Amino acid sequence: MEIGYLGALLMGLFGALHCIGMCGSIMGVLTFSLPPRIREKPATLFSYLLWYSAGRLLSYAVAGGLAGAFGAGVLVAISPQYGHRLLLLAATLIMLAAGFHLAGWFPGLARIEKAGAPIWKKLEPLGRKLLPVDRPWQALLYGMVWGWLPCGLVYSALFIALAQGNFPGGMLFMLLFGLGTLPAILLTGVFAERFLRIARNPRMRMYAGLLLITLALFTLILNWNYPNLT
Amino acid sequence: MNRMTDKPQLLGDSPEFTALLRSLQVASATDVTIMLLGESGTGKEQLARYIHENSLRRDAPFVAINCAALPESLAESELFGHRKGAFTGAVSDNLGRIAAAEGGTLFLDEVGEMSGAIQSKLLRFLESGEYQRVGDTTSRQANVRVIAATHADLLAKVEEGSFRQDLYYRLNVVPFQVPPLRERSGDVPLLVKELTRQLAARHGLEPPRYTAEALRQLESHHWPGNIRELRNLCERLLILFSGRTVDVGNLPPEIRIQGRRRWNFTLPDSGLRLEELEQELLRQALDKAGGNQSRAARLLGLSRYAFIYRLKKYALL
Repeated sequence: MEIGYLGALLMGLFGALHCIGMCGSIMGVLTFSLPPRIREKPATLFSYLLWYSAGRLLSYAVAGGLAGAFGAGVLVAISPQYGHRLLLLAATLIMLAAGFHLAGWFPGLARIEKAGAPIWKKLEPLGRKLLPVDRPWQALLYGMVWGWLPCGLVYSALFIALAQGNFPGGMLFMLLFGLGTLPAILLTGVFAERFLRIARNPRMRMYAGLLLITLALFTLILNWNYPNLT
Repeated sequence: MNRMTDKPQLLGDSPEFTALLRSLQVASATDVTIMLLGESGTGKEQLARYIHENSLRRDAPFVAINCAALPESLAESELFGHRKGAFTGAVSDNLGRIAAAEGGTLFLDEVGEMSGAIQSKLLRFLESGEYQRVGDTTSRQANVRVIAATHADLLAKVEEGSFRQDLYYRLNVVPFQVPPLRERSGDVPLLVKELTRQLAARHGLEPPRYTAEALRQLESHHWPGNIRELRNLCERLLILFSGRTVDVGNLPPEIRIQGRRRWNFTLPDSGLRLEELEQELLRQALDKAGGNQSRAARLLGLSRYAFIYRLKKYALL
């Protein structure tokens, strides 16, 4: 399943480029709302940006672990013999959908964001209480809240994490997905405008989508005969 | 549907729009300077109000100023205020918009249209919170959150020298892209219904019904004027077809015929030479822009570099 994990990393890496319009602006807001004493020291500022992202990744990992554990139950319920193939097929389809979404050929995928809107409605006021952040623990907690922001691509990754069929597998998948998002999200705090321009470039998005589509097909072909997914 | 606050009312259910609202929710919990980027008519002022209404400054004033509508001679006095007798016609003290927004939010719409002199003064205010009224010798302090908006490519304006680079970086701290109506999937039918309902209530008329085909046609229109254009159309159709049914045939020709196409151009049966057409368009764009390359590039939807590259390619430079 290594290629699946590579897929998680790439999905995060290129997916973040697509989502930079929303998450990039949030990162910008969080960066510039830090007190000047933090912003003036690059090392301190960077550590806060890492705390935000650590919190976000922690939420992804927990959600991924839970999805993986749930997937294990689904796998047994469907069929211990063929369940993994069905889940693999479902995961591939979702990764393909994410690829088409990234390329701009399937904007409808974003509709699944609605599923998370009620959770976000409850969490957003909690996050609001943590702002303005001036302690690392606040940044970590805010990052954890931010991790639950409705996002079509995160939900797609979660569905694939479900297909990992166990808690650690699901957790690792989402952690790698989150790590993939780090370069774009961390750098947008500094290069917001440039990143927005790249993210809006349809050709860039198309290449990212095509890469993910290719990867999804590879994952399916290479794992079809494996006895289980992990 | 998102109707998060009664004032301002923001309508939309598309993922593109709801994602923006969620980001603005986060932004409203902070005091960071925000830049709203988007085409005319996309509702930037309503979004600025939304940020204000959801911020800790909600009980203080929200003051909007359209920089494009301000005559240069009045801009300074309008923004920073003036003392009685500071200039001919200054018959009384004027606090100015910055002072009027004390404790609240100052919304600078079409900030790219500001003159150079005002840009310098605004920069000073953004850096230190200090400003001077016209005819006053003492500096004043103001505690105001600034939200700016523009439909222009500010970076191109910086490159052509009509917008200060330092002000650009001061204002463009956190840019938010407001999606044009054509990119808000599924929002057109919803907006038609809600705008028609509101307008019908205001005019005391029975709202018209839209056929599915008419709604599909409206959805496929490019909407260069965005929500403003849609609202005007809804009002027009309400008055013309109150209580009746609006079908495709009742829609204006530019919507009925063109659909997503933005131009009235048809390829001649005899064909054409694309390179010649491109050269002609480059020339026309330069003429229309009075020789200004950045403006000409924008007319053709190109970056300045791409435009210059084409000029060089055809030896037009």
